[in-house]
Amino acid sequence: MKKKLLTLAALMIVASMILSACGGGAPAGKVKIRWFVGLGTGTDPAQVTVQEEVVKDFNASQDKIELVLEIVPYDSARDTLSTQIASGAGPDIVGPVGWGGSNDFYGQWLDLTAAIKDNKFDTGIFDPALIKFYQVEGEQVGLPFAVFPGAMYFVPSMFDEAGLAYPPQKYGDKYVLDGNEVDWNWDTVTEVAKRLTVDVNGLNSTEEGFDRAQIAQVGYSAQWQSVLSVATFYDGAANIYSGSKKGEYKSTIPAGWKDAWKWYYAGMWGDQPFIPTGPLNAAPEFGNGNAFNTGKGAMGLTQTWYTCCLGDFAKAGNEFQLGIQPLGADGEVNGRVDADTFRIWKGTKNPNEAFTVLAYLITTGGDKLLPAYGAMPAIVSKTQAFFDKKSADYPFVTQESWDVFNQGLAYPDTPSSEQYQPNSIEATARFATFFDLMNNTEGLDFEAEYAKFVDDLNTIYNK
Amino acid sequence: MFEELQNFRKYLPSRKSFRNMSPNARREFRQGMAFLSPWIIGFFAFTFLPIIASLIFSFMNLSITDGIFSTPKFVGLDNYIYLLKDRQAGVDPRTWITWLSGGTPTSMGVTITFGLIALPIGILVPLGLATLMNNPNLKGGMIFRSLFYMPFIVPFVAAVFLWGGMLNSETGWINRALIAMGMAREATPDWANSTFWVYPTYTIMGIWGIGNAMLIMLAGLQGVPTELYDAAKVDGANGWETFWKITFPMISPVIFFNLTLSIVGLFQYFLVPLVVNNGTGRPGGATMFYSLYLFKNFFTYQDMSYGATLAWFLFLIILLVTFLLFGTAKYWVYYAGENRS
Amino acid sequence: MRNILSPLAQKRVSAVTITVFTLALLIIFLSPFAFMVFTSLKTQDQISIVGAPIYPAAPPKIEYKGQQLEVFIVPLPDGTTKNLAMVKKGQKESTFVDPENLDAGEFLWTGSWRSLDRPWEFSPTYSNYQEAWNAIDFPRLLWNTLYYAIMTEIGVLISCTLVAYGFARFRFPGRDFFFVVLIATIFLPAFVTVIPTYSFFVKIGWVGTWLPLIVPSFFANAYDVFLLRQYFMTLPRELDEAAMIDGASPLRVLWSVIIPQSYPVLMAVTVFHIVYAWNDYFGPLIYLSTAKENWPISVALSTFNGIYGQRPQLIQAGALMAMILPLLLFVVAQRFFVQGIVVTGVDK
Repeated sequence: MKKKLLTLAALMIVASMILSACGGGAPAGKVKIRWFVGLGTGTDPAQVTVQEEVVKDFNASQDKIELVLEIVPYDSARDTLSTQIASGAGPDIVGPVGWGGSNDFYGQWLDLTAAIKDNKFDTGIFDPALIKFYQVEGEQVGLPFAVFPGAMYFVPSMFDEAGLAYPPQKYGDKYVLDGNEVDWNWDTVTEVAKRLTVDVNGLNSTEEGFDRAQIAQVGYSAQWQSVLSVATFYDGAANIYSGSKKGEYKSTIPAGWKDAWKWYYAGMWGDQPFIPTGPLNAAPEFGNGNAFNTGKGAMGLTQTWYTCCLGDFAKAGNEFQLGIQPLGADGEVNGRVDADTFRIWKGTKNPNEAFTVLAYLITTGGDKLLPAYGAMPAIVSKTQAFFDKKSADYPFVTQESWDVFNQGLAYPDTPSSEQYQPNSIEATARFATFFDLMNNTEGLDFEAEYAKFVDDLNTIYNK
Repeated sequence: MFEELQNFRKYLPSRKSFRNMSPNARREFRQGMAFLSPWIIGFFAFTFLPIIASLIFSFMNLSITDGIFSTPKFVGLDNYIYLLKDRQAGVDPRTWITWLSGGTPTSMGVTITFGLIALPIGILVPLGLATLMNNPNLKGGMIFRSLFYMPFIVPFVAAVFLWGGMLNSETGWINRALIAMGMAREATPDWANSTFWVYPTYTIMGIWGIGNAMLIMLAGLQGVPTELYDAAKVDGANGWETFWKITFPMISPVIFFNLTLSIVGLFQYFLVPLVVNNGTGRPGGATMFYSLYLFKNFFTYQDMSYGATLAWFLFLIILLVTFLLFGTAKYWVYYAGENRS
Repeated sequence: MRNILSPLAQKRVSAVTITVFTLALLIIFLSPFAFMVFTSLKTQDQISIVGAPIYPAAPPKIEYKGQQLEVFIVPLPDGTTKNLAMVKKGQKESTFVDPENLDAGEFLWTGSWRSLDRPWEFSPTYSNYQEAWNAIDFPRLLWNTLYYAIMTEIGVLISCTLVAYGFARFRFPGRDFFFVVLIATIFLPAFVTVIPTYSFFVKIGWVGTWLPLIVPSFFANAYDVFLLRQYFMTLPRELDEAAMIDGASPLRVLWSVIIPQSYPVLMAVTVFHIVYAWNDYFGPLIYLSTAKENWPISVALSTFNGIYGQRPQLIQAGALMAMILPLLLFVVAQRFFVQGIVVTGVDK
């Protein structure tokens, strides 16, 4: 009896192993390098296809390394990578990933200095400033790959309908509002955005009888921006904490940032709204958070990467152009430049092979990858090819519009709005919670919540 | 079962108990163990070590990025002491006083409040539905059963979008229906964004995926021998009496199963608040469920040790509640096959 | 109390009442499902029209001077309404043409075009299904998912039945202790043990294959054992004992006495597990992340939920297609839910 069962159990194990053994093994003699995609852009089915092509190209180009692509949907990517890293089985290469994503795994990235030397990699192809950009605590944790300057995406037909002039396309140019030349600053953007926010009866936000419960088009949408970048655009980059060791850290959010958030909150819940609230933004009609893409946002301030995913917008017969980023209260342009690259996990068993792959991805592979990611090349000579590819996707976008991105490179946010903070993940999560609260709470006691937020930050920093 | 647990040592296989066994008892022991062996082997192969590992983590100071193979940094009971002081977790009943007197809800408080609403509904609705499906007068029962079951099959990612579209306070179908029925636009509920509506909202979402519980109840109902009903009819019992005297006792083991799993599921409830309310606890901390707080500590904040501590505390709570539940079983759960003592 | 209806008529009345009541319940219950179906038939553009009907609707368009113009129902000064096409939109006044009389030329209409109704036409986009099918290589995903579901199903049914039988029908020291341990394995949230489990599978080299997902299913799980045990315990013992006295081995008793009485619950476990495997997400995600060619549907569907752009219509179309097989299985399984198949003591 017992014997029979044991035999049965054994049979089951053997059977299941045979049946499951269809998984492939690595070809002998090659070093397997895993490339993990998911912390940022790159998981869209169309992008996956391009990345698979690049992997194929790479594997065909040499016979020592077998590159394996690992795609993890964005929502689960952090948990998956955590699981792998904690188990000592992290991937060799991670990316594309921006500062925000890489800060979630702070200290996990390999210093490339030795590999650059060993492989005689010529860093001269990059702007030295960009090389420096990736030096963290004396280590070269990345090499430049993609840069994403910001711009004001706008829909000309909506401006036409409202009888408004288009946003300027050259830094230094003025905007014409009601016949007067004014600065393209946040006050102007606010006024314009209000007139572009329209309810189902066709009334705009400044008019009597405007029905805020039935908004059909919003004037402004901070498309896929975080609470930190909203403030950075509004008031400029800032160091948000001070101190150099645990116990001394202190939140130093400038007053201007607080103003930025008050402005943002009023834009959603104030008397004359022009920014979609959390619930409105989450509605399917507003693209589940992607309002501009649904053709219902007149302006959206965001980065180059947003060009990755406006296919549906264009397919529906919409057109967009690009304007300059607005001026802050002090008359300076408060731009932002995001940057994505690939990182090597410091636990990799094959740092040299991993670097070979990385070098391939940021140079040759980049030709195919950059357009798919909507990323401007960090190698300046490749910029025109990128815009050519983009023009093919969006033939209606003018050369003047594309040039706004080129100009935008001159206005980086230093320190980045995705800067590292002590206890970075928890602190960033606290920022996100504050944003979520603003977006979704009508009649928020702003001062009280803000005080609580800063208190919490001080606790989190010193935990 | 309860008292069996109280002196469970007597049931632990000890040398003495083997020696005193009759040959028959020995044979039954061997056979029983043989049938259990697939699970016991699997338990030691796949489950035991990870469980013990997570227990060890709770006595360490380990972050996810350290990796589990890093040099261990033991901190003794620090994590547990911190847990007792952690107001958000709310395991110290004293924290409930501030919560009940109007402060931010604690995670344990949130879990229990929601449970009081969701548990009864989670048992009664599937039971009622299964009774309806089992009614011989119902025409087209096959089709009805399939359709009531169908939502349970909907993939999670689709369900998230679906409920977003149904419950959105601005353009959602439910509010559109309410307005069409004459409700003022301003009076429509904010659903997942309102302190008052958020638990009913979650409960509605839960009811939608009730197919599985219904199916289990139905299987129980169909196992009731028909001649018992015939006998009841002969005795002149009405529908209500038949239910309480025959149906309920006969399906009580299945109800017991559903109840146990619902309680476990409730304590481990985190995916819905994580996705629907972004895991931020909004509105006003009302959706910061214990397991969500656990998940955030474990994966989002990458604090494996504190996450494991929260998890093991939860383990103890569920164990305690289940013991109590198993203790009540002898008063209301009837096993027809257990009538041999 | 006298009833004026004959028993047969009474039965009919109650059948109609119950069926109508259930139908009403079902309609409410399935309204979210209609949302799913309608979304799957819309274009991204249709999803995002504010104030559009809930069904996939498109405003009719006409061709005018090489442009596609949308048609609106415009109230005219004489109190009538007419379907006109909008040439140029403005916040306060817009230009229209009459599609039936283009020669009459363009004219200005004062008022907001947004407040105008449109002559909506039912316009479903069936190609979403094809797009979802192609974008994520559906046949392959279906095969993978089916393979995963069937393999683990075999394991679950065999192992859980054996183990549940052991718990339900044998009395021996340690049994209840083991049962508590079994149930307790589900008390710890699964994600807490996922890291040690994952690293164990890394160590034995199973990550990137089906093994970590399939093999454990052959060693029973608490949910199904618990359910089967509960059910087995409701079965009277007389039959077992009769069979035992006739010299049947325990396996024989299980096979010929217990299992024939347990079709409803075995079917429930089968359906339950198929659906679980069908929608299992995190397991396949972490163990098969390097083996995209082995992905099941659940993982592939979530790639439509991208960071910078979501495709609700493709998610819903894909989800609906993915649901067909489990639903069919459920319909087939219905055969086993018919009251009376239960053998309740032969000629007792």
